Amino acid sequence: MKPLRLKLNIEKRLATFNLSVEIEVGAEILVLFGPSGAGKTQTLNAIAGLMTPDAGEISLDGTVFFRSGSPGKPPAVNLPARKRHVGYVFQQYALFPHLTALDNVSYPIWRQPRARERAEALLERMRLTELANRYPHELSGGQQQRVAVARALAMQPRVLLMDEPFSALDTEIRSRLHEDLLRLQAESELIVIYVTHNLEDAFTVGHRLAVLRNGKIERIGAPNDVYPEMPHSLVSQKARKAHVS
Amino acid sequence: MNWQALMLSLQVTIVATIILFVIGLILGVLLARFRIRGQIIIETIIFLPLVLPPSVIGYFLLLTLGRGSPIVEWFHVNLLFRWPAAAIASAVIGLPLMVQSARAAIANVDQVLENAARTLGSSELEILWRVTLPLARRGVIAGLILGAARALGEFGATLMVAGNIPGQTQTLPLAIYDAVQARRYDQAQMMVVVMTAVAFVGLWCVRQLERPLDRRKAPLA
Repeated sequence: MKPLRLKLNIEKRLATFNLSVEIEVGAEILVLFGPSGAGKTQTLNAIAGLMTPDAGEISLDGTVFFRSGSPGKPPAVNLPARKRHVGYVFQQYALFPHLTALDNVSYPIWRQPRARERAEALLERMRLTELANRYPHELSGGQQQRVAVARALAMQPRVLLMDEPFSALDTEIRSRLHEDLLRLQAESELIVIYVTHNLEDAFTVGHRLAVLRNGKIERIGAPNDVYPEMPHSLVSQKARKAHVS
Repeated sequence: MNWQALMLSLQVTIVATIILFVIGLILGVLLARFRIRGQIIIETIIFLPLVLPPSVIGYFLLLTLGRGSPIVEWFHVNLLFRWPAAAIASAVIGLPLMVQSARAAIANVDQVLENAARTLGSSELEILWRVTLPLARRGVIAGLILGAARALGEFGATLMVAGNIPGQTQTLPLAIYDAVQARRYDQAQMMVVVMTAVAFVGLWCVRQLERPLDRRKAPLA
């Protein structure tokens, strides 16, 4: 598969500040790092189609997700969320509480042939086979997180958005999930945008790091270039190896 | 026991409940999820049957279903003084209870779940069917039971639009009234017991549905 590029250049007037973000992401994990209220989630929502920018353009190679019209007019292009095929892992996972883990994962593909087998394969990939028939409230935070990732991947997206995906989990589970994510990204040549306010997360998982503050990207680049003062040991060997290869 | 009236009551209530379900659900979704112009006026109109005398509702229905009204002119159907008129009257009287309960339950469903479904490729109708309604089902069913119980007990509006014709439009509440007027107290007593028992069971079910599910962390709305 040809590696894609996601291009984003948007403006949005929000209640407390103006969001103005321009980034281009390839098959990599880009960490969007910043304090809460910097516009990180809004940026993800714009890509997923859950928020409509005031101006700008969002495109995934040839496919235009959003393009503003002339000033004061409705957007020229505004693809609805359901047609964007962008995987989105929400901060609180947003699993459907009335469906089992397996049914959650097969939700987006229920009309397609062999939906059940494909969902089972995804659960296996996430080491969740034994928990397939559990409901979300019967799962731990880390397990819910993995179900949410499996569900987002079920429709085979080229873009995966993750909003503070591991913030509620303890360190040990987090580092394991980080390894999973790095492996997944490399296997599927996914474009991953990973939002976090945790600098350690940002360093362990990110190939590139963008610092978002007050709605604007302050710095962007390799984690060590953006934060040269960070202790080298924090940068995971795996992250660097994956980036080089 | 007036079996004829009982069967007719069941027939009227079943049709009224179907009307309640469809219209109540549409209104519940619209009021819970959309900001409509004149929303307060629409809500107030829907809730009027809760406080108006049933005879006033009956009067409005006579205007809507009677001679010269668009429904009669366009569709050439005259429903007045036939049992479908009783079903419509019962549905209108029960509607506020259904809408109130369904709206609250739908508004309670976390919109992040609906957004998640959107990113997973679902259309709005599919989201309603696969996410919102299953999660709001307890409230929707509770509203439906309340509305149906109210429809079963409808007296005044039914009397005005459908009359009190034994075997044709005489439902249980009307039959009770007739039995008492004719001093047939034994017959009235039986029907009173049936009505009370049905109402009690209905309300008991609603209480059960409204009770939070203990030992379950995720409430199914």
